[in-house]
Formats: sequence, structure tokens, C-alpha cells
Amino acid sequence: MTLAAHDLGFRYPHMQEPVFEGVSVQFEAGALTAVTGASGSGKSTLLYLLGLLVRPTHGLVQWQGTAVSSLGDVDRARIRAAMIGFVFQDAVLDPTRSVIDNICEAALFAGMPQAAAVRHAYDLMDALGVTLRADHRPGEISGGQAQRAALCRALLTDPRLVLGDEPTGNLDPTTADVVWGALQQHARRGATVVVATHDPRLAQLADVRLDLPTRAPA
Amino acid sequence: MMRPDDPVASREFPTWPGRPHPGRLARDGLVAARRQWISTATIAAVVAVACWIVLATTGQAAAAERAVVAHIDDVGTRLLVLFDSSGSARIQPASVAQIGSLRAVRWSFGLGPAHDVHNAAVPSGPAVAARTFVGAPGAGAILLTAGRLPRPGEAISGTDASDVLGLRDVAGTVSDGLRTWPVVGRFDATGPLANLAANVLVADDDTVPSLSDDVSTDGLRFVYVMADDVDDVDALSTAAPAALRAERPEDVTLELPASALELRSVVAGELGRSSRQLLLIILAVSAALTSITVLSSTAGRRRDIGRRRALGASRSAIVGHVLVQTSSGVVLGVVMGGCVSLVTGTLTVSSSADLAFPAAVGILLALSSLAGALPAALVAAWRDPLQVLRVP
Repeated sequence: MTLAAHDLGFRYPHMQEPVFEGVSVQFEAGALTAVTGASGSGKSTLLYLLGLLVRPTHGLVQWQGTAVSSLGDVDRARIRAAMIGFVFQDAVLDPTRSVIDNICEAALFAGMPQAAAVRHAYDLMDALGVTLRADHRPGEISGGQAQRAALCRALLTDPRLVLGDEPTGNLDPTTADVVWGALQQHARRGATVVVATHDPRLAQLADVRLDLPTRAPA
Repeated sequence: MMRPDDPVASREFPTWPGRPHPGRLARDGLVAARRQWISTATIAAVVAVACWIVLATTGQAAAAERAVVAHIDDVGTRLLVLFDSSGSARIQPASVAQIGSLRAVRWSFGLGPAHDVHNAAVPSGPAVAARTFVGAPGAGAILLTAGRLPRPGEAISGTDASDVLGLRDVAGTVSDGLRTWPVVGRFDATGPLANLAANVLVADDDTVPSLSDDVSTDGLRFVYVMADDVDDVDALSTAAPAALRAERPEDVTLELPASALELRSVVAGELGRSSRQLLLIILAVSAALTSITVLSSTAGRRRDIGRRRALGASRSAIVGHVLVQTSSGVVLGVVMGGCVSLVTGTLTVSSSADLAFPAAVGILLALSSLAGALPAALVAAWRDPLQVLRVP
């Protein structure tokens, strides 16, 4: 699956200056791309644009030649549900649900059968070492365990595209390595993985590095 | 799983529909309603109080309106009277059956001209009016209190007439001085026919002597027509005269319960208007409070809703989720309000008909509350997920 951005630009409605503009880049399947850049360079915004959560104000996002960024809300939601996994800087788990229920929430919107989702969730938790916390609430587990649970949720539907917005930003180096390793492994299995990071050590481990330039203040 | 040596080339990704099953989505909304119980309980409380207030005020007013209208109906809002004003119209007795066969006619009967009769056992006693009748008044208009219904040539006496004639026992005979008729029953008349209680009614028959020489030649003086419903009166005011057979139909006057109908309309309109105004105010307040509750609830769940958007929920799915969550509180509130009304005695349910009003109130409250929740759901669905998910 080839993901590409063409002359991509984004500007918030209340801001005069764009977050970035003129970004053209191609992300290959099977590779982990690290997006780096200073704060405010638009790393997170780029990920949300690639993940079809927001529309670009200029340019377009293409998957296999299709301009997916210009699709309607329902179609973009379907693509997100079926083919994209998100990992955020904090886990963004539902505090009222158990870890296993949080992970399986991704299956609801994808239309993945519940039984298959639970089986796959336990496989992922085994691989990431959080199985013992399956029935705990997010408030009862550590930040590192919560982030690994969030990674399980992102990988539950076996998505073709995984987007990580500083997924290791709040983690200790050991847990960060576990998360990074899992993302690399998913890329090795043929998925497109794009991760925004401030960590130069992890960025060095990426297959491809995209450095967003810092915009000069107006 | 996740074996590092998996070759990229052999990778097959599963294909999911990317569309949630509606049942699972609804269940997810109900689970959310249970887990965010404070919001659900607040909505339920608002709706329950609104429901109780409506049933305690508008419900009581509606019941009072029904009672007043029923009393007005008792005086004859559904009764039409065809009256031979000249005494020479010669209304044929067959008209009664003809009119009785019309749609929306509950019953009809006719009365001949009045003749004085007295108790045959007391020839010098006081006289009362006696009339030949054709057809049969329906239940509720004339009530047989003793004896039986008359066969042709027999008579029944009204309670007032019985007192005048001294017919303490049902058995007796009345006479006009030339002919006699056995009295076989006593009746009481109510509502618009109450004046008949002072009469003796003689069943008509061609083969036995009747009060007038022959109603088929003398004709009827009155034909009473009871409509099924007040709304049918207007149509019958045209149909009944058209079905009438008389030698001089132009001499027949139609008496409509115009003043009673007008009174009914005024009473129902006045009572109904104030009830409707109160109901609308309560519905609006309930909707506004539900809207505020849902708005504050979804504002506190911005990251939760943003996460759902990232996981693949469309805006319509978010709207549906919020409405399902709200509706569980609304349903709970309607049930609670109904139960409290039953316990406090503001709602009495003795028949299935009594359920129509509280059911309608419940449905109205549910719809208005969901309408109130809709703007909040739309705001939640259109909130920018980028702003709520990213960490500054």
C-alpha cells in the first residue's frame, strides 16, 4: 500500500499562517518512517491528515493513487476503521472500561467479529506483555502498560497503516523500545508505519526519516 | 504472531467492512449510558419530574375536560330531533327504520301525537299524556326499572306518570275512555329524554288499537336520532331529513343540539388550550434541560469522542451513540415518572383506554428530550478531533 502526500498544506481556520505547506512525500509499505522536526513544525498535524481525521486545506492524500482526503466523512471513517491504526502520545483509553474492552473497541467500528477480536487482542497482549492487566481499568495500570494496551488497540484490526503521534514520548527507554519494536515488526509484515518522534535515538532506528522544517515566525 | 521473520511479500491484510453493526453500536451506547451514570441519572431525573408534572397537571385537566364534556353530552349533544311542527306533516313510521339504518346512527325511535289517558281502575283520576312509539331507544336513554318491554298493543309507564296514575305496581291498565291498554312495565328516562318519564308509551301495532286511530295514517310527531359521535351530528343533520318519509316534509323541523354543541366546544377549547400551553412549556423546559445535560456531558467526554473518531466512528455514528445514550436516560425517566404518578395517585389506570394519555405524554417527552439532545450530539460529532487528541 503506497501512501502519498501531494503538495499538502494545512492551516487552522483561526490562524493566518499555515502549520505547513507544500509537503510532498511518499510512504512505502513495509517501512517505518520517523517524522521528526521541532515543536510546531506540524508532525502531529501531518499524521492526522494522513489518517483522514482532518482535511488538508491544500493538496491531497493518496492511497494507491486514490485521493482519499477528498472523500466524504462516512467513507473516510470507514477507511480509518478498516485500515488505519492510531497510537497517541498518551494512551487515550476509556477509564470506565477494562483494558481488554478498550482494545476491542477498535473492532466495533471496523466491523470485526467480537470473538475474533478478543482472541486477537489476547495474542497482542501476550506479545506486548500486558495480558495480566486485561481485566484492569486504565487507572489501575502504569503509563507504560497503558501505552502498550493502546498499541494493541491500534494493531487489533491488523491495519495496513499505523500512525503514531509521539507514542513513546511519555515512556521509559525500555518500554519505548518495546513499543518501537512492535511498530517496526508490524512494518516488516508489510504495513506502512509512520511515527512522529522527538527521540533521536529511535528516529535513527527508523527505515526512513522525514524531517519537517521549522517555519520562521511571521 | 508477530514473528520477525515473516516475509513482507506474503503479507495478506484482512479486509474489514469498516462499518459497525447497528446492534453492537446500540449496545455500546447503552453500555456508555450505564458507565456514565451521572449524566444518565440526571436526564432520567429531569424527564421523570417533567413526566410527573405533566400527568399531575395536564393529565388532571384532561380528565376534568373529559368529565365536563361527558356531562354536556348527557344533555344531548348527539341527539337530533325531527319534529312535525304543524301536526300535518304525516311522518311515516317506516322513517324510523330508514333513519336507523344510516351509518353513525346509534338508535332512533319515533313518537306519535299525545293523548290523555288515566288509570282504568280510577276513571275520574288524573290524566297523563300517552304516545304511540315506533322503534326502540338505546341503552342509557330509557331504562326499564320494573316489568318488561311492551309487545304491540301493550304500554309502559314512566316513573312520573306512574306516580300520577297511582300505578304503584307494574300491573295495571290505562284508558282514554274508549280503549284500554295493559301496562306491563315501568321506565325511567334520563338526559335529553327525561321529559318522557311523565308519559305512557304504547307499542305500535296495526292489528290492535293504538292511541291515534293509526299512526301509519296519522303520522309521527317526533323522530329522535342518536348519533354515534358528536362529530357525526353535522353529517346526520343532512342525512336524517333526507331519509325521512312524510307527506309534507317541509313541515318537519330539525332540532339540533346547537347550544349544547357550542358549550361543549367552548369548554373543551378553553380547558384544552390551557392544558396544551402548559404541556408545551414543560416539554420545552425538559428539552432545554436535557440539551444542557448532554452538552456538558459530551464536553467532558471530548477525548472519548475524539478517540472514537480516530477508531473509525463517522459523525453520524457519534450522533447515534449520543442519542442512544440519552434515550436510555429518557426511557428510564418516563418509566420513573409514570411509576411516581401511580404511587402519588395522580395517574389511575383502570383500563387500556386510560393508558393512552400517559403513553402519549411519555412519547412526547421522549421525542422532545431527544430533540433537545440532538444539537449537543451534533456539536460533539463536529468537534475537531485533532485539537482534543494531540498533546500540546
